[in-house]
Amino acid sequence: MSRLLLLTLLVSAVSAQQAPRIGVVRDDSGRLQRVVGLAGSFVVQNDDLHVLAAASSGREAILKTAEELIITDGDGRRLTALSAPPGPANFAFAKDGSAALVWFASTRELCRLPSGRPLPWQPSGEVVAIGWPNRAIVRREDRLWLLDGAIEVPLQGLEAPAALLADGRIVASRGASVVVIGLDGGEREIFLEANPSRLEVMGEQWIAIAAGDHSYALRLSSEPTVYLLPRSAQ
Amino acid sequence: MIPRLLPLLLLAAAPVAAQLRLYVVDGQTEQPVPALLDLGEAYVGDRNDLRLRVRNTGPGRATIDRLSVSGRDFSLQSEPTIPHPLAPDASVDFRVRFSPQNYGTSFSAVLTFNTTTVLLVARAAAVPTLLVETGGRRVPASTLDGVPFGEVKTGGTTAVRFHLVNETPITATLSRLEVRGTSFQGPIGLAPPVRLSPNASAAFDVAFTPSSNGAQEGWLLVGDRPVKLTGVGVAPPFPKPIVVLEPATPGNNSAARLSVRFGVASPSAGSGTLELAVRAGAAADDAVQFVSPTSGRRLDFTVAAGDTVAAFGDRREVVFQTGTVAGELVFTAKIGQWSETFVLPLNPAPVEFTEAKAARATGALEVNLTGFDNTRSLTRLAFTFFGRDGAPLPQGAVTVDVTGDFSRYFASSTLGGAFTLRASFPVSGDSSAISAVEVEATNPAGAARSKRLSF
Repeated sequence: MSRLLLLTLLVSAVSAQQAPRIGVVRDDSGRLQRVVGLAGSFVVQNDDLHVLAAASSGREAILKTAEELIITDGDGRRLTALSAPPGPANFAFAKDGSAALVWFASTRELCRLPSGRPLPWQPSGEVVAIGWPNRAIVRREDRLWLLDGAIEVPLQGLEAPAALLADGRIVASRGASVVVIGLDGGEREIFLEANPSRLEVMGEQWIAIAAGDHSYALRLSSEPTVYLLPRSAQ
Repeated sequence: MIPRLLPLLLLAAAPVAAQLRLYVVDGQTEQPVPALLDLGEAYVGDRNDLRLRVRNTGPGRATIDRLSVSGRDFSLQSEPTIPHPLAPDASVDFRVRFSPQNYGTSFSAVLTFNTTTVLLVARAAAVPTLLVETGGRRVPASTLDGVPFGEVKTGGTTAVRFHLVNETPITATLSRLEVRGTSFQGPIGLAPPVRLSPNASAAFDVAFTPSSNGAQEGWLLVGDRPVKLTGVGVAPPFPKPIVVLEPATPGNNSAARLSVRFGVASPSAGSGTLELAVRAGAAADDAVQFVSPTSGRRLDFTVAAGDTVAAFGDRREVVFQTGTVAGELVFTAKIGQWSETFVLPLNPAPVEFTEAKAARATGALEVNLTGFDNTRSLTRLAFTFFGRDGAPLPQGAVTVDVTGDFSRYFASSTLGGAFTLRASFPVSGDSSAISAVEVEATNPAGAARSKRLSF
């Protein structure tokens, strides 16, 4: 059996070389930017689109404009677009990237993507982040809570902005640092130069952080490492 | 009969002399020059100019054959060359200047224009004469030309000595003697009111102490007379800038810190630039850039007096990305007369994988590799598969010549040597017999092997 398998391993198997893609971010003005390159060798490219929220699984990106929810592939090609209520949104990707959730803050509505089907969920508090399949971080009276199905856990000493990763990890702010909380509850704190003002899922295992004058890329595929992101070429 | 004819004959006999007329010009108006022309009063060392115009008012061509002024302290300025023809209605302007070099109550001279003469008169102001010492001589100070103090290093000082000499026959009193302008100080050694008997004199100094670079201006006020003071502040030279990296020799695909330092504290304040250039043949790598405090390949920096490290905004160092191509990164720090370069070599190296994954797909095994080849000339990939027992499959590695594919990819890429690739191996049967794979990539600098990737 093993020999039969070996015969089918094709010599001409290398199918595609391309520029490494990392994901999407938005600048302070809301302009969408695509991040390509490697960790430590980033290139940020401007897009014409202005968005209120953006997230990427690496394979696909979800973009929230004033009136639409746009899903693109990793190269920025538009796959589908849905009409959407005004205002910002939160996103969560399934671990395999096959589906996603979107929370519309203005209407407090949770929908599944790509179908756009509404889901029944009405958490109490301000939704800070959502996670697949039924997790969220909400803020109640300046305190963050982790909602995991029916379980609610206070996130002591942590602040917004925060993000939930598809693998279950939590990234939240603590003063001028971000804290990565693993599935076992272990914490890794990474210090920045200013308090984070925005955390967004930039790509698979990547979080974009806006803090002070700088944008950072937090890599979570191995030991959490933070990188300075260049500003885009104008 | 005769008395009536005579004027007509005279007009006909001297047409040229009559058709050139001399005027005093005041703005847009012309007034015929009187026989006695008063050029007014001037301070000793100063000048009074009067603009005159010769106009051809006749129907034919006429020529200025003679134009001169006699008498000390009077001169012609911008006068035409003689002879100077004038077409009908044409004109030419010149100036008569009175510039007394000594006190006097009455100056006179004769202006001669062709056959016409005009008596010029003027006076020197009855105030003490202001002299300035320059090159060991005392010369009258000029209101219009001012007194130049020359170039002085910022923070340094120079002084010019002035003398007030009463050349008038009466005692003079100056109630005002002051210096204006932040870079000029004085009068030093003399304070108003200044009382000077005939032929008496008094000296004082004015200092020039520039605190900044560039042209500076001030005024010396002597009685009603303002005398302009000029000087130039010149920064002392900056010390030689030194580009310092931390770490000292970062490799490709890394972010490093850079500062511009000086061996000694800078005696001057100023600004400079730091530029980053890539020497890597035709290879393009957009990732080579500064990322903090701003992005790009050129940053401005400032230096304050006393600094030993340049400032980039509110930071003393910058962060840059080294990119993913072999070659040289050239940093050039420019300030003052200096243009210092620092070259960071990035040597050709084997391929480096930054991410590698192996996965099972329907009917296939997939390997995803991300990394960089700083030579941009990857030639071969070899995939070694391992069975459940951890031993390599017996037929050896699957080798792929990727020279052409990667050559085309790198030719179109502006991301240096960065690449990602997906290799798919169709499998029939139970692919679980294969448990892992290792990938070896070869470029001219050598071979690099990935860690073992489990499916």
